Amino acid sequence: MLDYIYFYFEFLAFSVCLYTYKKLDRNFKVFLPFLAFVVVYEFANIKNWLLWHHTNAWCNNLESIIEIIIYSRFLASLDKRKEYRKKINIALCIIVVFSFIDMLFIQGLFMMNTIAMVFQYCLLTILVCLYYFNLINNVDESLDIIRYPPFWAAAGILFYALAFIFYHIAFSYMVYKQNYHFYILAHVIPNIACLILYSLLSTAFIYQYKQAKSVNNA
Amino acid sequence: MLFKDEELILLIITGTAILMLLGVFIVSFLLVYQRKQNKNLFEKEQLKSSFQQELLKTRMEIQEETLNYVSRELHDNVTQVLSFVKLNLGVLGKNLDGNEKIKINDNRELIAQSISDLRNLSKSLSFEHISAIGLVKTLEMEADRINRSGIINLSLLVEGDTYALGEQRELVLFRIFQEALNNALKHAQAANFKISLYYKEQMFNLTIEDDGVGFQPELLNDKSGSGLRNIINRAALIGAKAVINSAPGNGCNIKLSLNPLVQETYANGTYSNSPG
Repeated sequence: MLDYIYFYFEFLAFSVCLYTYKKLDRNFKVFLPFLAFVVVYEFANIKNWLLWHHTNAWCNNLESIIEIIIYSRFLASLDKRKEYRKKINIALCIIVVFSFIDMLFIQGLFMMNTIAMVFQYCLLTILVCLYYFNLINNVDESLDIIRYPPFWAAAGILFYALAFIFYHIAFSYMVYKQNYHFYILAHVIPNIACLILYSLLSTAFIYQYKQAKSVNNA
Repeated sequence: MLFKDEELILLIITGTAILMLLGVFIVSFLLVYQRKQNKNLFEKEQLKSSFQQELLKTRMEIQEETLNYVSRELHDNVTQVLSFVKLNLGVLGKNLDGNEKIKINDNRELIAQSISDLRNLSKSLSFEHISAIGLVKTLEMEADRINRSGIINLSLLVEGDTYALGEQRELVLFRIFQEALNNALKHAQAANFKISLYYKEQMFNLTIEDDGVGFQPELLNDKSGSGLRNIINRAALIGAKAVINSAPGNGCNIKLSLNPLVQETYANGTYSNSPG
């Protein structure tokens, strides 16, 4: 049961998103279809329905591209500056193109595209740090950051990206060596990363819901 | 040089832990920084508000001193000179008879009336006089003086058992009344002016109404509405809440409410009930 703890948190985040959907801001609404996809995808993975050439690496590669697009676009939507959003979109395009190049020409479709994934997570880390930097400099006087939903969503993405960087850097080599301890890490690190990400996303949804409700009541 | 597998595992764990700690540090820093920023902004607002209060209090003190000076000059100089003129006219009148004597006596009466009006005006300007006889008595005298002049019909209503609100508070309330009356005479073309005082145990209410032309509520935010804003600021200084309601054609209504049990501290440390 503990092996699939990440799935339960994914399902929890999806359920919370579904419950709070009507009160969510426009930039949070994208998480509902995305989390629905993630839940279905992870369920299929658990059941080994997505094995092709004895591996599910191909769908992991595609799923990571979808993830980077969704999270980057979400972080871009939190900033009102058009120029800044344009720059993020350009960086995202570069990373996505590189991911496809890695998939097709460098590491291959049926191997984990760890090079592209490391770049993806680095991009997410940078975007979150830039968002926090802008938040500090341009924050509204009356903003209560602890109850600010985008803060929690961004924190979740930050921890998720940071947790996977070293893991993916060493992934290819450790899989090649078939190291048993790495096999354990391969369960623990994704579990922890998903646990943090989806619980913080759920927190963000709940705060968004409460804020929208209190505005309506006022 | 290649790492051993175990060393690599350790490196992955350590590296991941460090990165996660970095994430924790970033988030914590943001929270602490934002809290400090909010606290600084709050303190800045408080200082600004305290400065504004101090500025307003200083302006009021200067105004009171000026009015007091004018009051003393009116009483000590102008009325004295007029009394002397009246005396001289009396001496002159003794040597005249018939129509000329009547004219002299008429003039003496006019001068006596002026001396009386000047004395009353002097009293209404002087805060010492207001402090000595209290708000209600001062308002009664003022109402009497205004009604005798015939420029407006002023009615005063006092309900409940009267009690002292404190010299500073009563002075500010009287000045607010004078400001409102001034507005009614200058701008509102009002025929009737009503002032009501309601004394209750834990609440004091002052209502000032006129039946003048009224004004747009937006005037309160306009530069030309500074007299009205002055009323609200003065009221806030003594811990009272002032609400001004008006509409074109509907006159003006000013309501002040004050909890007499709550003491307000002025910037210099004196309390609202102290002699100041």
